[in-house]
Amino acid sequence: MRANLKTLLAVGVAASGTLLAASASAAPAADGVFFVHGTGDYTAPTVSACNSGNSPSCPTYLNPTTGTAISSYWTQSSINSMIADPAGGNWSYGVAGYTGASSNAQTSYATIATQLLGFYHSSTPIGDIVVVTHSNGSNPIRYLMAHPTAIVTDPTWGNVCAGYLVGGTCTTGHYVGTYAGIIKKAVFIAGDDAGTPLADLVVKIGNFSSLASNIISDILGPGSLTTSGAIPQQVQATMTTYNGNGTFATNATLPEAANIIYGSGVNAGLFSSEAWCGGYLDSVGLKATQIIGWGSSSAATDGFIGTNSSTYVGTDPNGYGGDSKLNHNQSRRSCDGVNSHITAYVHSTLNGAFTAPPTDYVEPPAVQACDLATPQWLPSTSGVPNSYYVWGCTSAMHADSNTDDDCEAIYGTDNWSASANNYTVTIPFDYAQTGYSNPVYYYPYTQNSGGCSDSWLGNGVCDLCLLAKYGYDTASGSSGDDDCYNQGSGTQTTCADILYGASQSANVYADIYVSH
Amino acid sequence: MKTANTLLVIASVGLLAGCSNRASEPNGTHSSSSSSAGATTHTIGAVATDIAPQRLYSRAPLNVIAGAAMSTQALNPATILGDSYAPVTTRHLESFHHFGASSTGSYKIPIDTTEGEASLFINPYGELTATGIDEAVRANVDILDPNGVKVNARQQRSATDTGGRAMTWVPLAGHPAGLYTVSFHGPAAMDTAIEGRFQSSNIVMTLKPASLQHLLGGEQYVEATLTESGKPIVGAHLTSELIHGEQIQHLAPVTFTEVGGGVYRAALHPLFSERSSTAAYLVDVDADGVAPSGLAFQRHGETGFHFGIPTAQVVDVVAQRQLTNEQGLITAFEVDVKVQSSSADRLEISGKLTAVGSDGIEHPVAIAHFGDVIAPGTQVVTLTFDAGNVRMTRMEGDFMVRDLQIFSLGTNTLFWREQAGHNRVFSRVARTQLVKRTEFSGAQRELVAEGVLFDD
Repeated sequence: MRANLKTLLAVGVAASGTLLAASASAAPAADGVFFVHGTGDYTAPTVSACNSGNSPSCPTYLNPTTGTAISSYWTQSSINSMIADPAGGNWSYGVAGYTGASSNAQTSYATIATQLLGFYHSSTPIGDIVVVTHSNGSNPIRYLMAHPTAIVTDPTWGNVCAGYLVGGTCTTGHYVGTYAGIIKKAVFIAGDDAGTPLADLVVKIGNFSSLASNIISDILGPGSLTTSGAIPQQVQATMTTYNGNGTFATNATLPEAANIIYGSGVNAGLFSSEAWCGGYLDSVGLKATQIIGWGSSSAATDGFIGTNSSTYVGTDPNGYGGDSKLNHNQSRRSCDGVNSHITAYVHSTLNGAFTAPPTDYVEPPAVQACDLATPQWLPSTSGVPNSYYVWGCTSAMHADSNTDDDCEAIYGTDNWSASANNYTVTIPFDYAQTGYSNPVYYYPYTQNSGGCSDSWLGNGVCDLCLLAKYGYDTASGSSGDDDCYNQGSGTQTTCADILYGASQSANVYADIYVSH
Repeated sequence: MKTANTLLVIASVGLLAGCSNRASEPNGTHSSSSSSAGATTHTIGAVATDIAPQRLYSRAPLNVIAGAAMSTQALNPATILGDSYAPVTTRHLESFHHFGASSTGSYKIPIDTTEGEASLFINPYGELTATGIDEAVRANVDILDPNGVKVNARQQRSATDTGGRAMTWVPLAGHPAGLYTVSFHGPAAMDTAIEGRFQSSNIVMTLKPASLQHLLGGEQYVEATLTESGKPIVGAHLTSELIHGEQIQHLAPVTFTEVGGGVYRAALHPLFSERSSTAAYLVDVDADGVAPSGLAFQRHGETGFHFGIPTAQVVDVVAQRQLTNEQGLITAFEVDVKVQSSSADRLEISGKLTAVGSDGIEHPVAIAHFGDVIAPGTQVVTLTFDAGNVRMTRMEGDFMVRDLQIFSLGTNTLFWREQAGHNRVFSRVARTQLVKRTEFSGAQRELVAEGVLFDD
């Protein structure tokens, strides 16, 4: 019977310790912002190969400081200002670096997805991620959003379906199951979603005119003076094609929330401090493109793209509108206070999503409120014996190489590997590989087709699926005990776990009353 | 410490339920109009934005990865079905004149207006072989208005200002419309472009492709319309090129034929074959002529479409059903789509569910995807729409299957789009029949906060 569960689980990453250790490292640093640059070939931060046996597995993807994507495109100071939570502290961050000039979005999305997954694995893991893009960086993300069934490469696990990133059900690759998507929101800064007349020039003349050359090389970065890749992709007529034939997600097909931030003017006055933010010469160049209509022939422009393009996809719920003092270069350099708008949108998604578990949760397994270690049949409330079976976790079960969900919930680890001399599944890092992540056990028994629900956090029932997911079961912002805290002798805890139901001939997620 | 005797098990809601019930409707519902809980079924036929191959082709195997993946997502019901699918009519008020390297002598170019911010731009292009060569190219050009006055002469700011650098941006305000002269002092060192922008002109060229997705075996046209203050411009001369839009290769001339009423049409499909690259293409158009007012003009613009070689299509929607739990609540809507493929490719089949809003228009409420490598032959794939997503829209009544689509992930080509969705309908569904979601995606949370979706 244990084989039933075994088939649902995959090999994960080894880590020592118990549930207590896992829960202690589960939060709260698990919020992340991932930056995707626009046109230009920029190098990614230097990262080491992901570890295959320990958690976290891709630590070098976390908070990087190297690579031209940071040093030349965003700048470290701008990134620092965009990861500052207005409520205090900093979010973790990752940075994509890719051939954003010589590759178009239909190609570069795969590289970005791999780096995003590396960032996801960089902590324990990064749970909620907001992707912040600038300029043409929006389009590879829109490709991912439009195609949740595409296959991308995880730096640790190999092939995974894009639904793991943007929401969907994967039946192939490492992640098998239904996922809400690790990308919770995209913030498109000056997104070039409908193209730019500046790119149109390349079509007619086969190269950029000299005025444009300076601007392209200075502002759009290395590799931009090519007649293939990202620049021709941004030709207005071509973007119309891609938006219409399903290549890129639009507002009508967007699975994730997307907020927009955009500039609508260029200030190049020599004595204006606004003109100097982000680089005076770039401001002058963008003023020139704005004047001669290359930013847009029909709308306000930030010097490179028109607001018709930067507002094409996404919403502006905070009502920031276009910033007439924010040119295309400045919008990635935190000029004119734009970083506060970006962090406000990030904050609205990440705030409170992960709260540190109460300190009083630290206790040995033997006194856990829902220590379901003993395999046994249980009587039902209707008096029918042998209705439900607790799989449990004996020391032998914990020490063998079989997968047992209760071991994961009780000890935080399972699947001993003699060769690795370690456990190969540890939670919450390997939550996706546990049976608790499989919706089949929940629906229709709990009326929740999405499986283990965050809405159960702190609802009074100790959900072992949430222990597996986060290492705790407490509502966001709660300062009190969590649902899985043993309140002592004479008290009762309502627990919920995957049990075998005899009448259903299936494993079901059910409530158990445990008296202490 | 607890013992076995202290453990009691009770079922969560619906614990005693077995597997999901499947209320199968193999033949579906084809309604022309039926009243139900607040909505009406729409039956629609083929629409202009539909994409369907005339035939399927075989092609070399693609390097694609097998493995099924599915997705079901809520959509913003404030959007409108088919939005962004229709080819866009673009409006052009620009001109473009190209003079090759070594050009000498004088040339006439028509300027139909100098009103507003009408401007010319002098731009050398090509490889800059020496520092300052672009400046020299600009200085080598004089542009004279119909009265012989040089328009690219920088105004002196003071007595000591000798004119400074050559002009790139040449405002035309204050000069008359008419034929301007472009004169080269000596052989041009580089190719030179004289670009014009006439935002206040009444002479407009619009461009529109027949479809955003051209499939080999089908027909594709591009239409240019020339008007002056709404009046058709006849007898214009159009020159055009087909351009590979992803590599900027100028491939072949395109011939436009005047069809009357200021409309000019070009057939593009004769220029494509099985050897053509799957890619985005552009049609670059220059139009010269005389407007009804007697003004000579030139207009320039581009439009585009994607070309692909079709290897798959939807053959039929063979079944539909509602999945219910033991309480009879609908947990999902499913449709089985039969797909025919001529070559293995990773295909993404998708569809939408729509409902008719209070405005009488269909609005999408959910989207479902299925993706996998589909081998040659026919295969039935299932699109599953989460009913909890649908409930969040607060829409009810009839839910129509729309926008059946096949997108080739191997070639990034749209092989099939059928807005009617075989007119499959899930009829008379009340919101109270739909299971309630308890977990929401980022987009759903956002839309709930905005009052577009509802989590009750």
